[in-house]
Amino acid sequence: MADNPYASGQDYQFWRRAVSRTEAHLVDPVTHPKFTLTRTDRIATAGSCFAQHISRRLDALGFNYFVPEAGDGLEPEERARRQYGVFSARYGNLYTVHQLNQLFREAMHGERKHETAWQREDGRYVDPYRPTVAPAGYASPGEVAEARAEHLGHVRQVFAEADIFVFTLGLTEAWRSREDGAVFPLAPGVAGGVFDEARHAFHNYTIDETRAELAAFLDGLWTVNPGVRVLLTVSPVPLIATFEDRHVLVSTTYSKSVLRVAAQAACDGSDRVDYFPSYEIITGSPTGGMYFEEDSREVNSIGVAHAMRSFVAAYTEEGDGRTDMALRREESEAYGDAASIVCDEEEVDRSVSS
Amino acid sequence: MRERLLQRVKGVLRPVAGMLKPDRRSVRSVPQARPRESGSYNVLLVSNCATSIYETVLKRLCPTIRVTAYDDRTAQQGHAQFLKDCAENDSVILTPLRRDAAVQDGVDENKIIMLPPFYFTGYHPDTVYLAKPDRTSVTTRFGAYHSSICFLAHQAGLGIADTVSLFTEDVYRELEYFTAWQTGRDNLLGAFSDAGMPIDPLFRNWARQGCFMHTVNHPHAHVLVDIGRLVAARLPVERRDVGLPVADKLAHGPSFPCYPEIAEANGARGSYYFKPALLDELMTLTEFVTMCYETYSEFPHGSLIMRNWPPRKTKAFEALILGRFGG
Repeated sequence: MADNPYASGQDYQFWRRAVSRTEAHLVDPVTHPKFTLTRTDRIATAGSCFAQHISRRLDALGFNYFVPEAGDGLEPEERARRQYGVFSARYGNLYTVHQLNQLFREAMHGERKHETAWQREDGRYVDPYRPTVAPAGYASPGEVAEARAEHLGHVRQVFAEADIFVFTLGLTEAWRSREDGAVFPLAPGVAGGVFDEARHAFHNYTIDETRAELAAFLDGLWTVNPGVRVLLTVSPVPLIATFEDRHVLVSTTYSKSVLRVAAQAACDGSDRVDYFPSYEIITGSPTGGMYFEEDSREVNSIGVAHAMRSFVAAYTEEGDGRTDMALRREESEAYGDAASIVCDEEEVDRSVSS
Repeated sequence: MRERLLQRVKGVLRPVAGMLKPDRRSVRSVPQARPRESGSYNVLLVSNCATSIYETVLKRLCPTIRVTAYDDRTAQQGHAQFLKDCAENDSVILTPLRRDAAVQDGVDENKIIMLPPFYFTGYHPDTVYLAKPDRTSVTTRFGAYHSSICFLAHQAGLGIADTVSLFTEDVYRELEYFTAWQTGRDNLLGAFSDAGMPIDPLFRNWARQGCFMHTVNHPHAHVLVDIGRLVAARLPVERRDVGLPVADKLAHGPSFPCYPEIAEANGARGSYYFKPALLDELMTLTEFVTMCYETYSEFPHGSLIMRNWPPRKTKAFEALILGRFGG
């Protein structure tokens, strides 16, 4: 047989073997996880909404979900309402890599920003960089600053003490301050503040910008926490809206493509960074949309379960529930007997039907 | 006689010792039904609970055929008539069990199309059959299907509430329920491949749509339609290319839920609602356990046995509940 570069390939390298011949819910694209999570590892999470699923699952499995800003002493409902425990600290969704690195620089290097409080229509104030985490808002810009200072203390713990940092890249589209380049998670005016074209501008990050910012963040992170390992994922949740003058689906593809490439570059660049393909599991053609809710945007519980099954199997010592050979043989031998029971079963069916 | 036939079937389905799957190279070549030169084309269909749906599908897809259909038990009990029907029909569609019996009694192998029973435990790994001392099945409003957890808990003397509390992911893991899907798939696909009718791509499509079984041997109608289409393709007659749905008659029978934890692990949605036979109503898990307990209490303790249940799992269950309920 003629030799060729693919001749010695593994099954997972071939679509027909790894996908076409595999049931959709069993497709597992993780091949070479770089590290294993132990129950003592402090696992921190940040990023867009999808990262929350990882937090919840790890917590449920009894892993050490590291939450320095946990809202201790609050009632569970109040904790949830004020977004304690959603991520390791109460930073809300960090959709862009630039938001993440901005938070890092502020927490670790004291970088200051020009806009520090937004007033809402009800007169209350919110933090422009996490405007939804305090539904009641604050009475004054001073209170916002106080709360932020406390928050940044917890953020420092996250960056400095985590053993594993899980970050889900969400978007490339962002609103920034023209004055100092600060990045906001939501456009001014959406959850507070007032949009001012002279002070605020839309920006859609390029691959070069995103890749460089992620590299800068990682360099900074390892400076303060050399041992931390980073697990990157790309959120499979499409953009809810694009500010680009084009179809939201096209913008979604652009955004996710940039993030996916940036994640790969970071992964290729360090043994301390790995990429977990939840994006591929949820959005790939093998599952053909079956993991989205009716709005074709939100990920449903079956999809989350698939991603987390794959995650747990790859990165933990817990339940890779695949069948061992002896068990398969035992079941196989029993199959003929069991299948033949239909003969009795028909009799029973008749008895209950008559 | 029946035991001998069962052994013969097991010989077909059971892999060679030490092998994971039956050796596909040993699969017999698939005989092609003979085309009829004139007149109508007669088909004998002998299957199980799916017979009626298969018959509907075949008639719909092959408008020129005349189908004689009955279930496997009828063929077994009326063997002489069955042999007569085999002789009088152009194609005979049989389970492997019935096929072996027919060939042994001289039925032309070339006119036989093998159609294995559809048995898949992946979504219902808790389902077991219970036998009385006289080896007949214990039945409830759910026919012969039982929950192994419920039965084991009853035998262990647990109360209803304690039994309900055992329906958890941890217990399922101990009882190896999470491995049932893949082993069940391999066995089912192997049985159909051995019968010369591979269903692998169909199976993948069914699985994409979630749980496609009412019980371990009652698939949803669309599954039987797909298989019926494969059977129809083996008949040398005019075929219509239609995709109209057929009534899901097996939906009137009992329907066991795929437990949510099992469902989630297998790309499906689950519940704990049980539908009894013939009634359009649902029982909660507590109601189901209560009903089962009433039935089991009618028999002397220890007199019922679970069919095809490895003692290893009973030990695992006993170890699991030891000390949990003050026992």
